[in-house]
Amino acid sequence: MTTSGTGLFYDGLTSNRREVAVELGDDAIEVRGPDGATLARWPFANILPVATASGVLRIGLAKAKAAARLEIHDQMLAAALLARTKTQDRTGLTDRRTRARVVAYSLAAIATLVGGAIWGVPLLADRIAPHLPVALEMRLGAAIDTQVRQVLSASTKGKPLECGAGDSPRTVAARAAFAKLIAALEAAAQLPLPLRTLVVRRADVNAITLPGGRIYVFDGLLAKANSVDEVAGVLGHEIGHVAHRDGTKSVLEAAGLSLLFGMLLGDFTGGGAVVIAARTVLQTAYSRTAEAAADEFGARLMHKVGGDPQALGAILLRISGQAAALVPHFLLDHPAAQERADAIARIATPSPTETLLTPPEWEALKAICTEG
Amino acid sequence: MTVIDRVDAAATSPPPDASLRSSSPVRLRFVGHRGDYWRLMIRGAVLQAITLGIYRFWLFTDMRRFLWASTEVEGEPLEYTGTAVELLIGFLMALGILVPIYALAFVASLELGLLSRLSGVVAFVVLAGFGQYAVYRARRYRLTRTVFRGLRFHQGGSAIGYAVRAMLWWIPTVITLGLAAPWATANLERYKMRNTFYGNLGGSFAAGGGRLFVRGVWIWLLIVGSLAAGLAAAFVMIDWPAVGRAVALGNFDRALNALRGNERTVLGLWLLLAGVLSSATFALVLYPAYQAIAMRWWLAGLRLGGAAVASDLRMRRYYFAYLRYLLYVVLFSIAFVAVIVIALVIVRGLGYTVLRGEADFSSMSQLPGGFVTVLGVVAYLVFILGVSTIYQVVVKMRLWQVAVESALISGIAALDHVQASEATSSPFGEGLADALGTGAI
Repeated sequence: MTTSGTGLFYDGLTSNRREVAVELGDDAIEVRGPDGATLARWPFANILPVATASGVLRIGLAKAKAAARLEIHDQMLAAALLARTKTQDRTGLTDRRTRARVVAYSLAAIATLVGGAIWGVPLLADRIAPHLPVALEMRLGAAIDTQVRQVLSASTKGKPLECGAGDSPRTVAARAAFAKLIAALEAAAQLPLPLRTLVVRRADVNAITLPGGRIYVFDGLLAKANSVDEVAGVLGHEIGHVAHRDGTKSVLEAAGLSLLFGMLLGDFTGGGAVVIAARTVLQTAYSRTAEAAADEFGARLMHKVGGDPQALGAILLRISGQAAALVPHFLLDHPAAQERADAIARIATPSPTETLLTPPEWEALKAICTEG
Repeated sequence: MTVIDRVDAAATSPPPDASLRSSSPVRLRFVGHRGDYWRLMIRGAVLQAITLGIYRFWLFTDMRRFLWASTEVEGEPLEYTGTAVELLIGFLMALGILVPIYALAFVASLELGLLSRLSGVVAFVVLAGFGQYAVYRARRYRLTRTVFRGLRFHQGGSAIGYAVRAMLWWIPTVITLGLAAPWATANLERYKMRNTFYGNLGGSFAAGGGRLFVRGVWIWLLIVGSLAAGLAAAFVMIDWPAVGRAVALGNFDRALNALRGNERTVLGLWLLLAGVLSSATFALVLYPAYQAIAMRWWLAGLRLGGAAVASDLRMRRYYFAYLRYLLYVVLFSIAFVAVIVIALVIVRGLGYTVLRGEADFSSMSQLPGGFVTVLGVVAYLVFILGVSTIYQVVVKMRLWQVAVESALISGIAALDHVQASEATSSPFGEGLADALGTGAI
């Protein structure tokens, strides 16, 4: 077994290169100059190989201030030395054990991240949203409102977006009916912020809620609804979003996801796709939860005002189309219509006790967009 | 082939005795094997995919260790002593600074419409300045982690001062549409090299902006000239009132119809388009040429004590590298698409077998939606990582090698009796550069 040979030594204090004699002791390697003086004594436990492209063994001392280096060209000596050091890997690159550790810790970190995103972010948003001042939400709503109006106005073909603003007797009656309906619901809901509801000229069978208590009911919904309870059911659902401050919550959730995924993971090649995919999947999940909660709120609200809670389920089933079937379940932002109807049926007891609007009021409301 | 065989076969030999050294210029050598680098990068890409990018700090460290160790002066290689943990900590520290800034930007974008638009511009300028600051610090990190003959390099100067200097130079550069850039680059390089030290040996930069300007201005003339010619032709020939009337019609098709009869205007528009397209083509095709010119100029300006660098870099090496890159990407794309198609066919076949033909699998939309989405994201990730890996090996490593092999050092005896300096370096990685993605090796 080779225990001695020659090498090239750099002492780390000057750039001079020296030819030295190398000897492998019991627990350390000794480097001696031409005059026999010991230039360095490195314990085997502290020796680290340094990256080399050419297969020559270069070693240094771990945690040393000066970057002293020893170069050994004699392969037998190099092999003997490596047999005694901590690492056998002479390439100086990341070794297999370190790679495995990095992968393991990374997977743990990612699992924590994903767990945080699935549970932590909505939890935090839930806790924080009710404490945000109403004024803040109103400003947010105002900002979004301008953009929403722009989009909605594009399809009104020149007529005013808002319905029921005119002065003819029928329009006044329609407006009164709408106000009566809203008032009944609002009184029973006990909301933290005031509602501002409008009927707008749009053929979609839908209603939307913006932060700040703004609810837009689309004309198409009034046309498709068979009874006032169905419209009231949808309004109850939207009021549920207001009560739960869902608009603010979704902004907080988006920010939280951006932070978690965007900052920590978006930085590497291809990371953008992961971030977008994660955010889409998670945001639609949050949305489904919020929609189910709004359904429940709406059903209970209908109970309180004496309307038919099942009506919301009925209209959902009637208007749900085939389009949803092609989208994978985890990308839907609402639960499937049948699921929603079933959930509502579980809460609701069927018999209505009061009519919310008289038949003439209902007829007037349905026609709110036909003039002015 | 084992390492031992490789050593016997390697051309390296123990460095020459100082007394025998001639005074003719010494050429740098690049002794790394591209196969080893491919293995390193492919393994790195796979691990990056598995760890969603967290592995990148270890990969960058390994890349630098490889490239530094492959660069030899008179048989003695450079050495990179940085660690991945330093980069990781630096990145986390940088996050600590960036997160509040991004949070503020997010809040600002919600609240106030006009201010958010303004803040976009301000944020751009601040981040760009931050980028220069990060570049200077990243350079210091890499220098202090570079060891040659047992001595470290280090860098003095102030990163903030550098960032301010760089931002001030943007003003004349933008005003002159880029003509001032060579002098800006020279000034910034002088600042950097003046603050660069090998042990106690100071560096300097001897190449002037004028020389870079003279060598590279033809590129600028072609790009800006063709754009200017197109704009001039358009300005002269287009009947602007007619265009104004056509645009007021509000509909693109009707506007085109209205202008069709006006021959001068049509010709003017075509010339404008030709100008823009040729300018863009020149920019794309001449980019490697500019890179080669700038690299050769920069190498020739480097001075370290009495040692001086010269370069005989050939422009065609840059073009060969980029053309090879395009070829590899095309081949990779073909292979990639083929694999995807085969995978989908197999899955459909399996699905058909499982359901015993009860479902109609004649169209792709019948595949379970979740599977297709996941496959899509994974496929995108694999493709992007693949192209990026090819770029790192075929372009970046190759151009490093080309630059190294073109460098001739005269007066190398100046590096012989240098003393170590007492300058300490930050224990943490200059992770800001990584967080902002400045993209250098």
